[in-house]
Formats: sequence, C-alpha cells, structure tokens
Amino acid sequence: MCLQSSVLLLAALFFFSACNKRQGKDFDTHESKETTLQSEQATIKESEQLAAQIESQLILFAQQIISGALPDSLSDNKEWSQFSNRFINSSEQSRTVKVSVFEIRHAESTVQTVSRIEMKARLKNQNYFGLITQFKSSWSKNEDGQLKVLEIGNPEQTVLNESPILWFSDETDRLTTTEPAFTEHLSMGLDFWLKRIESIHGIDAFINNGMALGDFDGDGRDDIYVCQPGGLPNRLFLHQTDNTIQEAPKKTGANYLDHTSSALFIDIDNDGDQDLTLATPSGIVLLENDKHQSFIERGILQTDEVDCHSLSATDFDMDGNLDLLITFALGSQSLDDDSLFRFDDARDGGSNQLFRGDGKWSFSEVTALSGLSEGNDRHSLAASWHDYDLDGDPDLYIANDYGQNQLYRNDVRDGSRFFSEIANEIGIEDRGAGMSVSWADYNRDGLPDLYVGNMYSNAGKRITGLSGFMPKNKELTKHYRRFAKGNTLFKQQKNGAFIDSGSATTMGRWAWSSVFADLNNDGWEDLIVANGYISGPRPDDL
Amino acid sequence: MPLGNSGIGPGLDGSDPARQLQEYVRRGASFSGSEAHVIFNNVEGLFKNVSSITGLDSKDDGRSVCFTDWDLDGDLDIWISNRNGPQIRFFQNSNPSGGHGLNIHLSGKSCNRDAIGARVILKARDKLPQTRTVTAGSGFLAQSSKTLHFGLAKEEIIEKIEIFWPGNKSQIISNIVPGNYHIEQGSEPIAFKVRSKGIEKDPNPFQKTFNDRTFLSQRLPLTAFFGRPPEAKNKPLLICLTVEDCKVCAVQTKEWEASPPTGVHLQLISESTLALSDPEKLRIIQLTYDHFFDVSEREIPTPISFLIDQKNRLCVIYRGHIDQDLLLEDCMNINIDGSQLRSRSVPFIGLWASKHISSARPLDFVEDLLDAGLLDQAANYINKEVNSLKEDELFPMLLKRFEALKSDRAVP
Repeated sequence: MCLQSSVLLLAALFFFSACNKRQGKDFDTHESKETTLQSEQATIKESEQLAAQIESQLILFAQQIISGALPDSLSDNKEWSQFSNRFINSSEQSRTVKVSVFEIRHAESTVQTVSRIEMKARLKNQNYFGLITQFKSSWSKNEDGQLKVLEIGNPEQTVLNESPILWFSDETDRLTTTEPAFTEHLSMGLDFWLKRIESIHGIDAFINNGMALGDFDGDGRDDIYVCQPGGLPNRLFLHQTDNTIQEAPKKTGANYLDHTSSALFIDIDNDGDQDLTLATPSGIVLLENDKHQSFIERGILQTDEVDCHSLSATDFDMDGNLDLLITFALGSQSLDDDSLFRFDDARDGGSNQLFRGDGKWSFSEVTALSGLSEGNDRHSLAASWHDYDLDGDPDLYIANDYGQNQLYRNDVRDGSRFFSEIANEIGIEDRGAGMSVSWADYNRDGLPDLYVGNMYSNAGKRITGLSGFMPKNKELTKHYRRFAKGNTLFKQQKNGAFIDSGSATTMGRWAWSSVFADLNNDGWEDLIVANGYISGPRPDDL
Repeated sequence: MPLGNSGIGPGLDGSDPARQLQEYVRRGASFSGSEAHVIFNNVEGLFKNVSSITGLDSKDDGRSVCFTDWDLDGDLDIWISNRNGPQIRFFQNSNPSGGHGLNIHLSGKSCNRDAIGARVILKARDKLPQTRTVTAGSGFLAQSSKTLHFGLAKEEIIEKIEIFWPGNKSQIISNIVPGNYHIEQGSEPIAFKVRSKGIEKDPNPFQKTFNDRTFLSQRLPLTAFFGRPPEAKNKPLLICLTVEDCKVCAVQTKEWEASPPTGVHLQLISESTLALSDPEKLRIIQLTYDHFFDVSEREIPTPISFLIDQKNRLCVIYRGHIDQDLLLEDCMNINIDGSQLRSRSVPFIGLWASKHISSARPLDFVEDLLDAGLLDQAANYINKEVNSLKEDELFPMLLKRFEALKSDRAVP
C-alpha cells in the first residue's frame, strides 16, 4: 500500500543497506532474499558501510570547526579557518551539525567522497549564523579496518547566512494550550495512535493527512481544518480574536472519523459562506455551511477508488459553479496484478476523477468526457489548477509518484471543454517521485512558473551514483538517478515551454509540500519545503 | 479498504522489498526521518538556502503547508501539518525585512463567488509586476488562505492592481495602499473588517475521555488458546499478563488481592512463569496484540490484559493499570454491535461518512500464526474455529498454504 514516494528500487537498496548499518537485534532479515541480491549488493553494502563511517568522521570534523579547534592539517587552510573563526565563542547549546555524504567513488586503495556539512549556531553578537558547504574528501582504510582521512578539500558551493532575528517563531504552544483537542489528541503524533486504533478503521504507518484554511464562521478570519486518519476525528479550530484557536463545538458536525486525506473550504453553492469538502475512501463528502454555525451533509460523491489523496477546486468550464478534482495513488488493480508496476513508470495507479459542478449541490462525473482519462493510471499524490498559458481558463498539473507528471491543457473542442495532456511537449513531465505542485511567477516576468516536490535522498544519490549500479541499462540508471535528485523548479519561457532552472532548489530533502510564498515581503516569492518521511522511535535510519 | 496492504510488486529478484520495508518501519525504524524543513530565499530570481536562520527548521515529518496572514500584520504566517506530534504547528512571521503587505480578499459576482482562478497583478513604481492567483488546493494535501498576499518592500508605492476575474473583464484599481481589503467584483476595495462571532465553546468537549485501552470493533474468537474454567462460565474472562520489575503490575496485583475485580473472572499470568511453561502462548499473546494494529510493539506494554466475552471472543485490550469503573462499563457494553460498537472502538466521538462496518476476520489471524511459524497453534485454531473460517472465501487457499508449510517442515 501507500509506500507512496518511497521509490521502490531505491527503497529496496536502502533497506538492505540499512540492515547493515542497523544496531538493533530484533530485526530478522530473510537470508534467502539477501543472497539472491548478492551480485549488486556486495558493492552497495560495502559502500554504504563506508559512507556511514565517513559520515561519523565528518561529524567530528564539523564539531572541530564549530568549536574553533581545526585539525592541524587544516589550520593553514584559509577558508576552513575563516568559517571556524566565525563560530568561535558561539553558544555551545546553540550548535547543531548535520553531515551527509551524497557521492562516493571507490578507487583501488582510496575512497573519494563529495559531502555536505550544515552547521548553525548563535554567535557572540547574538546573531543566528548558518553555514552549508559542499566539499570533496578522500579516505583510505588502515589494515585494522579503521578509516583514515587523506585529504579534505576546500569548501565549495558555500551558503552563509546571518540574521539578528529568526524569520519565524514557533507559537504553537501559545495558540493551543487551552485547547483540549490539541493537548489530548493532536499533540501525540501518528505513532502513538497507531498502537491504539485498529488498522481496519483506516489508519496505517504510511498514511498522510492534510489541512485546509478558510473562514467557517464568517468573522473574516481564516479558521483551520485538520484532517486525520481513520478512527481519529478531523478537527475544526476557530480563529479567536486573540489569535488562539478553539475547537468548534461538536454540534457543528465537522468531526468526521473516516480517513480524510485532504479538505477544502469553498463556497459550493455561491451563497457567500464557506462550505467544506472532504476526500475520504468513501468518496468526496459535501458539507453545506449552515448560517456560519454548523454543517449539513449534502451527499457523498462516490469515487471508483479508495486511496484518495489531493482535492482541488476550480471552475474549468467557467459556468460559475465550482468543480472538484480528486486524485488517487494506488488503484484497485494495483492490488491484484503486480506485473503492471514499474517503479520508474508505474501504470497501475488509481484513476483520478473530475466532478463538474452543475449548481444546487449537483455534480456530474466528467473524467472521460473532458479528456482526463488520457494517461489516468498513475499514482497521483498532488494536483493544482493554474492558467499557465494565460488564455483565461485553468489548466491542471498532476504530480505522480513512480513516473512522469501530467499537464492537462484546458481547450475548447467542438464547443465544449476538453483537456489535452502536453507535459512532454512543454518539458515539464519531470519523471520522478512527484509529491507536490506549486505555481507562481517567481521571476516576475509575467509568466507562471512551476515548482514540483520530489524525493531527495543522500543514500539514493550515493547508491545510484556507484559505477556498479545497474551497469547493463544506462537509460534506466539515468531515471533512477533522477528519482533521488530532488525538487524541480521549472521556468516558463516566452514560447510556452519550460526549462529546469537549475540546481539551487533541488535539495529539499524528502520534500512533501514544496510551495511558493513571499515570506519576507520583498515581493519575490520564496520556497518552503516541508520535510521528513518517517521518524520512528528507533534512532537508526535508512 | 486497501490501506495497510502492500500493493507494490516484487523487487529486483522477485522478493517484496516494499513489504519488508513496511515491516521495518512498523517495528519503529526511521526512513529519511528527522529532516528539517528547507527554506529557499528568492533574491531577485535566484534562490539561496536560508533554512538555518528562519527558525522553521523543526523536524516533525511535515506534510502540508498552509499560508495565511493569521495576525493581519502584513506578512504570511504558516501552519504546517505533521506526521509526528504535535500534528499541527504554527509559525508566526517576524518579518525581519520590515516590508509591508497588501492582503486582498476577492469575491466574485458574475463568476464563482470565491473567485477561484482570479489572477491579480500588482504594479509598484519602478518594480517588476507581482502576480497572485486565487487557488483552492496546492502543494501536498493543503489549502492555503484564499486571501491574496503581496509583499511590499519599504517605501514601495503601488501604482495599480489589475484583477482578471475568471471568464470576465479585468478590473483596475489605482488608489490603494498597503493594508487589508475586501474587493467585490466591479466595486472599489473596502477596508477589511474582522467581526466577532463568539461561537460558544463546548462546556465538555470530550464526552468520552481517552483511556489507554482499545475496545475492539472486531470480535476475534480465541477458544483455541484461552480455556474457560467452569466457575467462569457466565462471566467475561479477564486475562492479565504481568512481569517482574513492573511497578504498575505490582500495584494492580495488590489492588486485586485486596478487592478482586467484580463482574469478571480474573486470570493473572506471570510472564516469567509462562516463558518457562508455555513459551508459545507468550508469542500468541504478542501476536494477538499486534494483530489489530499497523505497528508492531517492540515490547508488550505491561501489564497487558484481554477481556474475553462469554463466547470466548476477545473484546477489549488494556494497556497498563485498569480502572475498575471502566472495566465494569466495558463489561456492560460487551455485547453491543454495529454502529454502537464502532463508535465505542475509537478514542473520541465523531461522525462516520462510511456506512460499512468491518468485522473480525479470523482467517487473517491464522495467517499471522502461519507467518510466525506457529503451525501447531494454527492447526489448533483452524480445528476450533473451522465453522466461522469456512465462511471466508479464502479458506481453501489458507488450507493450501497451511498444508504446504506443513510438508516443508516434514522435509528436513
């Protein structure tokens, strides 16, 4: 099921490499399965063990920089010394270090790596200081198996930041402390509830649940609706005058217990208040806002699949009634027929569905009629509508896990609306582990640009970069590398085609929501990437 | 519902790495965990990683990101939903740039009322244009505010804004300064007013307070493993597993020594004794506990107790100390079914869109026993529950698997 966005083959490789790094003893590997992987695993296994050792050596090195005690061999190095000087006298408790090796090459007796060190600390002048730098290093193995550093190269591609105040402060506690739904439920996290709620209610270790902002009570301020897995109620929190939140009373009728992947506040009946729609395995639940006081259920739009993900609204036919698109990752056929699954080009996903609003709470399913059934068999995690070609109607971009993404251009054919899939034509297919879509004109040239969230994985980059990785199939190797590469920023050109506008924004880590917003009021839209896949109670990581 | 099943095909060699990976995570491992959020600052079209100085670098396995000017001070604040606790976080923007903001809430007249799809272009003196679009659903599983936000550097002077209403003529507004506005299609902006609504708070928001037990929605027969002494014939059976060096176990045992739990027949089992006398039974207790949940406990919480009804079906699992009143209440409700049972099986009250109510599937439990290699116990269970198992369409396949495993074992 929803191993969405964990790239299968890489996942397999990480899995086995992780078994080698792992410290615990309660995990049984399956001997027979391990041995059948032997031919490729031997180098990967060895390589991953080395990478882990090198990472721990580099952490020591980073700690030396940050504490101002550079190793002798580097004390004459101008750039490392300069960095180190900045950190001297920084407050010890404020120091954090993260190290990652993302390229590893094996020569006869040495190992070459490309690594990244991220460090931050609070300086003597109270400024927040951060440093990210990439550098090469080479290593050899002593006879006793211990690693020895031969050379640490000069820092390259360095990003330095300093700021007297942080851009954001975490005010969660202040806003939520008086709210029992927060303290008794949401403060716990998924792992807590996984052990207390039966999985048949629709809760599992890989489940994802979203959130929506909208003004439910008509006071002019956005309220917040938090989606939850099956067996836990979704929560509607009302925005109070002091900016804290307070849960809407039970009689509001917002506490659905079905797994809800996403929700939207929209005015479906155009009567001036915010109705609510929910994506659930039973279909799209339609809730009418009744006098800003409560919701009345106005039916459920039945869907063909159950592994629902994104919900988005638009008026694609410009008739004044909002239309709804729901995406699905797994399809019912995914469960029966494994042969359809290809991790670089999966075609066994659930079909997304478009419901056209006809007014008065009536909807028609128009997926096939509107041309959206073209290529509608992928694992679609996210979708967003945007008039990318500025012709006056909204077009649709869908981000798919395990394969290429889609752009459906909104056309008029024989007097009615029809979608043409043209992602390849305009260069935004972005084959990868798509998880998120955001549109904006980030360079202010008037043309909409696109940022697509994808998985970035150090381990994936290391493994797919090994010369022994799948030597027989160069084409496939390229695709696999792409899967670990990370996010993509697409800049639209004047001719309507898009170009990948560089590497500065790829390393968003695991990358879920990856979205544009002007965070510092300079008129230029920045990017924020929400992160982390699964932080389990055990410290070892894949 | 396929949630919880591996639909992912075989890996490199015909094994199922995805399933193994899931198992790995279910046992508590991390997978790209503890990764901080990343923020790229757009500096005139070029991006720079500023994560370390934003204060946004929490590590809760973030999922959706929603923007809104929550405190109406001119900059965008952020709500992030997470997999880990707390499942929502609020980040207040301290806007170190000192710039201003323009917030515009649109409402359509001859287009959809939310003006979804409307594009607004702001032109400030000597600056490149800024474009924003009203959107419902973007990023990953997220809906940000439909109020559009424009950042304005200090001293910036707005020349005009142009609104492209969906399917309609555009509208130009030329005399506007930073602030919060509502604009109805065809009308001039009006200053945005916040009204007080004062919806009353629930006096008792949790009619059912959370207890650390699961009142199961499924009724799994366990006659094969937990015998019932004659004196317990008409009472529910409470089986409690205790371990040494467990304070709660000691407290609980002492309490029951002083005053035995009413309404049930209590069987106290000591883990250390059971480990010697019947280690397979200990595994079965662990398996039974894990059967219902999508994670495996690394250790069984102790004491752990099973409440088993008069028909020898498992009804409630208790973790830790059991409150006597709660036990009585559970015994009184032991025979409820349908939607009543479903409501009672979850920790908080709420509504269900789904009308389908799942029931126990003993066949899955036998699969668990087979997975664990407990063939004799599986045979025992099949023997005792053959009537209900027969009703499952997959029963012939289960028997096939069982026979195959048995003959595997027979051949050394």
